[in-house]
Amino acid sequence: MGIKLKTLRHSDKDRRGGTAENANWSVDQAETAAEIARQMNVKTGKLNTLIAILLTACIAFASVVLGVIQVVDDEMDFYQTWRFSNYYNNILQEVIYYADLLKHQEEGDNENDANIASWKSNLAAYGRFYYRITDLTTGEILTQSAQFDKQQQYAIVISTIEDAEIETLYRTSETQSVLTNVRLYENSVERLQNYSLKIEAGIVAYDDYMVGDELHDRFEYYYFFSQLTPYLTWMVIGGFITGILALWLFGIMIRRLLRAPNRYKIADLLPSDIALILLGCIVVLAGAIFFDALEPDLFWRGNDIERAGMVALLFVLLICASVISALAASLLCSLFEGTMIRKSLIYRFFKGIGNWVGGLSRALFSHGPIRRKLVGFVLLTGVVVACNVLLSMAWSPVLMVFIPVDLLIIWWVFRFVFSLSDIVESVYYAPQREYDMALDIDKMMPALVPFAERLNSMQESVNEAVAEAIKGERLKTELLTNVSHDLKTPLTAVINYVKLLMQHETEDDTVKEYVDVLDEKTQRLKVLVDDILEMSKLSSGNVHLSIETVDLEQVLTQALAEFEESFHSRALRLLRSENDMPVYIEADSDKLWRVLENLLGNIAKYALNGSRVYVVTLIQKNFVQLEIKNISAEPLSQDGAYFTERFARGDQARRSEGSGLGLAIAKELFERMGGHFEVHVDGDLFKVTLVFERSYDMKSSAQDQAMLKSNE
Amino acid sequence: MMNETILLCDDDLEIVQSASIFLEQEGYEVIKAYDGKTALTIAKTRELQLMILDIMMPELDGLSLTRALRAFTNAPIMLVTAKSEDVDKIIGLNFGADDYLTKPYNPLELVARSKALIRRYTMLGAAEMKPSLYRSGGLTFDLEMNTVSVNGDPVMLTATEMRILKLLMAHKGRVFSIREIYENVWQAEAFSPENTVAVHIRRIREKIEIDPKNPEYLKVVWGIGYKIEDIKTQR
Repeated sequence: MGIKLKTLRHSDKDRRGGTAENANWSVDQAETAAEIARQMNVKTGKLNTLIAILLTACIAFASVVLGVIQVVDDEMDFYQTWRFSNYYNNILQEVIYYADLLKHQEEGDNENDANIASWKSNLAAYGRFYYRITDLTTGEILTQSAQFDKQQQYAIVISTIEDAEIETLYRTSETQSVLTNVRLYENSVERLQNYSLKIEAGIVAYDDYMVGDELHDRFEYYYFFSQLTPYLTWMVIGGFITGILALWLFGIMIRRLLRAPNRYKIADLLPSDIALILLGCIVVLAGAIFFDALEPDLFWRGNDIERAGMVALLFVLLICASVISALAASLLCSLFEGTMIRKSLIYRFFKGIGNWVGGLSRALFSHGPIRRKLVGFVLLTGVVVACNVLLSMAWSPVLMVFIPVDLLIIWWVFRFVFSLSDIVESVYYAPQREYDMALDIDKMMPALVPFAERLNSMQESVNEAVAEAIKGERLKTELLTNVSHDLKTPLTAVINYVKLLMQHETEDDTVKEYVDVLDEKTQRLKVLVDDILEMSKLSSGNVHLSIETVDLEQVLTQALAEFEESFHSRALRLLRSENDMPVYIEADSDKLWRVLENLLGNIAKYALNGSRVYVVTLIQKNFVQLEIKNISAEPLSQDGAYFTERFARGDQARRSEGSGLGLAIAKELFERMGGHFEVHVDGDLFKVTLVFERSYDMKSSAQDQAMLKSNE
Repeated sequence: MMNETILLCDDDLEIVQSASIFLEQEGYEVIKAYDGKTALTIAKTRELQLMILDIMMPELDGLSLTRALRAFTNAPIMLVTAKSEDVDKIIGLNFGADDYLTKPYNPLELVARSKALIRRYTMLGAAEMKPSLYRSGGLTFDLEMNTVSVNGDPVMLTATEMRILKLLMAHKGRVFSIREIYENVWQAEAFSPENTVAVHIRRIREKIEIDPKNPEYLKVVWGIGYKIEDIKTQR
């Protein structure tokens, strides 16, 4: 199963880039390759770096040498360059051979007559070359070119060889200088040492050229490369950059080849057209090196620099050859595989454009991320505008063609924007609007219809939920009202009749006792009903708070005054923290009173007679803590949290008055105001802690509120 | 003395029956009605000194009835309801009701409030409007005699209580902080006056209010101070 899945995955991957055959072996190969890659990762990295550095150095060196060799004659005359001296030295050597032959003939060796004749015609073929060979011992002129005197008069290069020493002058109308490039080869010197000869030779400057003149060809080359001289720097830099780029490519190539030798061919790594161009370039380079720059004579007879240059060129040629073979092989492979076109950069480029256009149109017309749509529209508009401008600059009638297209686009964009703004506005105004606020789908841009539909359905469900909630709320309120009415009305009648009963004078003590019980229980029922209703109002959130800045000390004073007498009647002693400064808190003062009323009422009911009651205000940086502590008359068996539960009471028998909802109501109310309410029980100590957020807003202090209220 | 007539209207038979017994014990003549429409007809034909109306009634509810009644009579109206929302109370009083009682009530309180309303209605009409008289509803403070009465009944107050009440009644509706009251009444810099003033206020309330827990005249504004409610007298 796993393998099958893998195969599917791989074939899917290959469908994009490779052939069907690839899919068959790629599973195994990919695994092996991954294994190899894991093992060779470190090694390959180092090897790659090494190869990269070496190749960079080679190619950079090659390009520099090539540049220097070809174009080194910067600001030199043709006759001062190696192109000339190379040619000229060879002719001189031939002259010396010729002279050698002539001396041999003199010594009675006549076998060489034909040879001599051919040499002579050879030398005559060098159109502008002239020479005269003189035997110094006899002073006889052995041979000389035709019109030697006239030629010497017009000569631009004049060489004189005497006693195996050569002196060459380069003579123009203005200047005269020695050409050091012109030398005798070592074997020529040996020959000359046998005789005492004087050889005068030179080159005549003509304005016109003879057909097949090698010197002329050389001059053409010289001229061509001297034209390139100003660009030498750029050529070198370009050489470096191409070198590095090529190295980088080769680095990737090699790394991939090492990782998965069977999967990747060079052709897979280089786009085929790029490979083709590269191949062409390298072939041209190699050809240039081979046919022009590489001079075997120079290697054997040149100076050290020239020799080094030749070696470098050979090296470059070697690299060229390997690259050519690699590229050619891979190109042939892809040609046979039929993947040549698919692998070309041009194909990929156009395919990329195609994909992009496809994606754009898909993004614009079908639904997808809205961001992509927006970007698509902006790009589309931009492209159209650019096309307009460019094409109409080139050819103004194009503008006429574009006008309808422009109008279409403008209409389109506007529709899109309007649809979008409709959606946005509908979202923005959603909380304010009522039920009929659905977006008109027909007016929407097709691309935005899904959004609009989603929004409509969302709002519909919100409306439903709101309607449901309103209905529920109304039901709850109605229920509360009805229950309170239906409970309270009969209770009122009961209370009334109990009171009437109590008014009746009766001798029977039992009846009196019964009536008293009735009275007590109806009173309890009354309290219970009130508390239950208040509790349900609280828990249904039917309580409206008006929070303002209140002086807690003032509220406490007022509240404690309300309970002064009931505390007094149970001999409870009140101990209150001294605070001369007002303590401002944020609260609803009426509700706060209700909380305190419940708490103090509890104390009045349940505190131990004659005990002390502590009311302590602790002022902290950000909050105010109010602690109300008292000693319970009954042992408290439960922990603090129990008392804030509904229908919780200190005595399990529930004999005492009260509904058991007092603390629950107080806690609920207080927490609605944003405070923290906690009950602690420690033995007989009953402690309630109220934490208020402290108000620093002195402007709306209680005193100012008082003034406001009194002015109303 | 002519018997005052009270219209008692509630859709609950037992409540009407029992309440009327309490009221009749006090010597009032009670006309019973069990729905709003009947009550309106009766009010149009009889001269009444008080109307006690339930709010939740069939046919014509108490609030609408109050509004209809106020079109032709100034007689005091007491609303009785099972609702204890402050909003209902405010609406009721704005519709022209004079008092408001929530069920389940103590019948003795009903009687006390009825008495007060009737007294205020029948007596205050005759009482001359002296400039030396502070008045809020049934509560009067006679500056010349230095006496306080609630619905005609004199109330015994201590000298300090008198001074506090005088200050509050001289500025009906204004809220006085404890400190202000102390400084005005004791004529001394307030040092720690809180408890003293608050306890005095509580005592006054016990003397002048029918239900000190739900005061009609001397109201507590929590966290700020105390005030005398400015109750406008009908007509």
